[in-house]
Amino acid sequence: MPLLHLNGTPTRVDADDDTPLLWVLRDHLGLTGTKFACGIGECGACTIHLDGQAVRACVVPLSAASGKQIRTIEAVAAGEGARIAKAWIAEQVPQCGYCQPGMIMAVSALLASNADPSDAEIDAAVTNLCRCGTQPRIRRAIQRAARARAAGSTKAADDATG
Amino acid sequence: MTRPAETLVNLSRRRFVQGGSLLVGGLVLGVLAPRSLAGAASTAEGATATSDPELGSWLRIAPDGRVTVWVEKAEMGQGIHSSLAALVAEELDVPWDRLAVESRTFDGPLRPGITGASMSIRESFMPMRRAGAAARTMLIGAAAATWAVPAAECTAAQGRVRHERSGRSLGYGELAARAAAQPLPAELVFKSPKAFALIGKSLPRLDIPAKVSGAASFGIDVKVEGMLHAATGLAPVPGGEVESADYESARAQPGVRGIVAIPGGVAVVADHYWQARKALAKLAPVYSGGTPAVDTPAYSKLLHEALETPGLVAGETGDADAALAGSERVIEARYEVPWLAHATLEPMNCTASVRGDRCELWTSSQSPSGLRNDVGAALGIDPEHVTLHATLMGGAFGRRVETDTAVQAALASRSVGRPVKLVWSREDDMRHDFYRPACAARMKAVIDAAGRPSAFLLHVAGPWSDRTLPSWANGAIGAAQKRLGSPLAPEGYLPDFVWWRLPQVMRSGVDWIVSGNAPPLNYTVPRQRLEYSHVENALPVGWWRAVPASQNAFFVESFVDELAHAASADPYEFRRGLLGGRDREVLDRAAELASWGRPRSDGRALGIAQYAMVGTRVCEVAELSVGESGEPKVHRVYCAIDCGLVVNPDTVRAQVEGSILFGLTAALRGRITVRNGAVEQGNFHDYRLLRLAETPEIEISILDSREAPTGVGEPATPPIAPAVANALFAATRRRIRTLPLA
Repeated sequence: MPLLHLNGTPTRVDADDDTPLLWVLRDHLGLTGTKFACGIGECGACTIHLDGQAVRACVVPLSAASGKQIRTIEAVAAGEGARIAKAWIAEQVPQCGYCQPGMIMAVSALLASNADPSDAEIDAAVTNLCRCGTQPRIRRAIQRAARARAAGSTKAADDATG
Repeated sequence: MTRPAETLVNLSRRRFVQGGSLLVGGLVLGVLAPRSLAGAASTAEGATATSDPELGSWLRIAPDGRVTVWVEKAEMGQGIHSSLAALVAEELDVPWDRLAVESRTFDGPLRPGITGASMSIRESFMPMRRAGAAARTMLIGAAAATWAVPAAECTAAQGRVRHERSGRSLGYGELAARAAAQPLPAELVFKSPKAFALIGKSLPRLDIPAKVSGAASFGIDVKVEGMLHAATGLAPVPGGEVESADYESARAQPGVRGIVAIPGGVAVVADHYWQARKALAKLAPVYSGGTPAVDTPAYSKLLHEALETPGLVAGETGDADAALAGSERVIEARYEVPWLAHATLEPMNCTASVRGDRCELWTSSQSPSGLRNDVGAALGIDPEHVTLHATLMGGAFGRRVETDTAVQAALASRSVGRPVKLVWSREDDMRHDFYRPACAARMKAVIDAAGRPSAFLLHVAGPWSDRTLPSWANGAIGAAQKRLGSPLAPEGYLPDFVWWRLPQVMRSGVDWIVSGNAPPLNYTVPRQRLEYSHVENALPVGWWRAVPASQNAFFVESFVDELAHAASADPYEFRRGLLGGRDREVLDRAAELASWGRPRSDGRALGIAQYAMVGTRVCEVAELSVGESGEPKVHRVYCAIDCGLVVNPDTVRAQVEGSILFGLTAALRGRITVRNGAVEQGNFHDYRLLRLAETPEIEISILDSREAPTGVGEPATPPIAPAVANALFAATRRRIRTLPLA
């Protein structure tokens, strides 16, 4: 039975090696913040962190996660991504909300490696799909989160928009 | 004015189970269906008009002072839950941070009603305020009785009732139980718009924190005790069935609990979803039968052939034929749009548990009664025995008025005798949609000596959407229509087209999904005619964001641009000369926002388009340039909207942004094609959505209004395609008359 390092906790899971991490998380471990939408790594709704890298869990088999640190929205939104989550609320980003956990996970990985991304760098790194049309607010929220990070506090993210 | 007793009911003494827990204590007020509707339905049955009216939404003030509103409207991202809560809170006078909203459970009698057609605020604006105002009056009454003072000496604010003269006050939570014993007020007093503290403010949405933390639960996230998981194999040809399959291999796969025939194909049920998917691959179903959809090139040809002969006249003002025949300056053009999928990010899914003659469903639905009706019929049980636990929606756009997936889940559950969560693959979802119809249009217009159009003819050809009717025009509506043979119109309750258009469609043969929201135009053109021709295609047609305006605005507003150029007029000035009142104000506002007329650098060009639907007027200006590859890059969209009184400005902006990007995605990329009788596209690599890098900046101006609120879920979608096409013409002098543009 494979042992996973999931959100800082060793976790055993009884699933076949070829099961995509997406379904291991959702179906076997009850972590439903990671969403299924395309199944081919195209949309990013299932984005998680594998050793700090943003990956699309629908195309990563359980066997590939062996020995690696897995982090999901449930831990990231309350942890290292808290500033991003606050920026998301301040900019009132979500509509249906289905793509947003994956967006936040992609942005969290981006800001960890590039604290002040340009528009072009944001475009290149955040290729997740949103059907509701929240993209203009996503860009604003990323910039807000980056500013908050630069300010070294969550103050900028706390300021509500007008 | 309606009396509260006719629209509200005190439910505080009833036992209320919601989401599995019993609600005890506090004040509970229910919002009822309008009596006219319940009465009409039972009159049609030959019964009296006094049958128990059905419950829509309700609110509860708990002993801790928290206010929860259970709403019947579905939250699909449009922010309706928060806006409805704001309407209650406004009249109730309670701080925003004490509000919570939940999706309600639907059981008992079926009640017609959908979430869609940009109708929710229009339908709910007064009912929700009534509930809040009644609760406030009852809380004041309870306080006055407690203190033995006249109610008129008491005031309510910020969740407390005060008696200024004695300096006493009590919180709503403390008063809730006593308020429950108060009679429903005989008359309600509403705040004047000037006194609004919450309506008109950009309150933060109540659903957003959970959508950011990953905690928000959608239909696909539901967990039911003992639940199994199902994957589906669906015949690619509409109406097809499984001819053969390797059942033996599939059954031998780990975790497999059953293989169930379902409408349209087969469901493999297993302990875990991935096991079901793997077993489905082993099953390798081979399909046959059905009615092949007409392949796209052939269908396009049929549509244009249909435009050669006169169609059914769906609307006419003045004698357009005479004007066309007597003029030498006739402008004529043909346009075409493709099929489009909804592609909600959450694939279609449903969790069902069938036990005997009862069924429980956990899913989201834009048509709860339609869903319960169709599932009941499929199982052969009373639809009143079908309970729906409504969840959040991962997008809907009209797709979730349909009931196909729920029927499959219910049949799978009954077959295996366990609760089953059935989840479609993206490919299932893309290839088994109810599509925005592919249509073609032929337009003719006459430009008179003054350079104004004196006659306008729009002839639309498209498929017939009758196969979608049973799912949303649910039992009660269908029955009423059949028996009465004439529409009922409880104004402001059901979408007007349900009552007015459906029988019109049935009688005239004119399909509303194809030809609705078309002429009469809001332009001053003395002679107009709309014709419709039906061209059969087996692909299911359904509601889509702003269908039918999504295609008709592209036809009409592109063609109006052609007329402007034919008249050697500026496209904005040309339209301005034909519009009056608020339509003109909206046009002017958008032009002003875009600095129309100011020369652009970098090869940028502007295009303008306006459209009105569901009482909302929108004008958009697109600013684009054309790259070396010839592909347009939309840099900026300017939008002016008049949607009456605004409940939440930020929500209106979000809906406008979303509607524009939904329409822009379709205009630039959207195309579902049919080959060998089946849909070709299967996933987001071949049905592309705009990514962050392709998203323009959007500037929005909302016109001030004291008129009744209209709708904002859809009306900003239709103008974007023609605005972009018109900008493309301005940039290249090339007129593109088919979508997608790129």
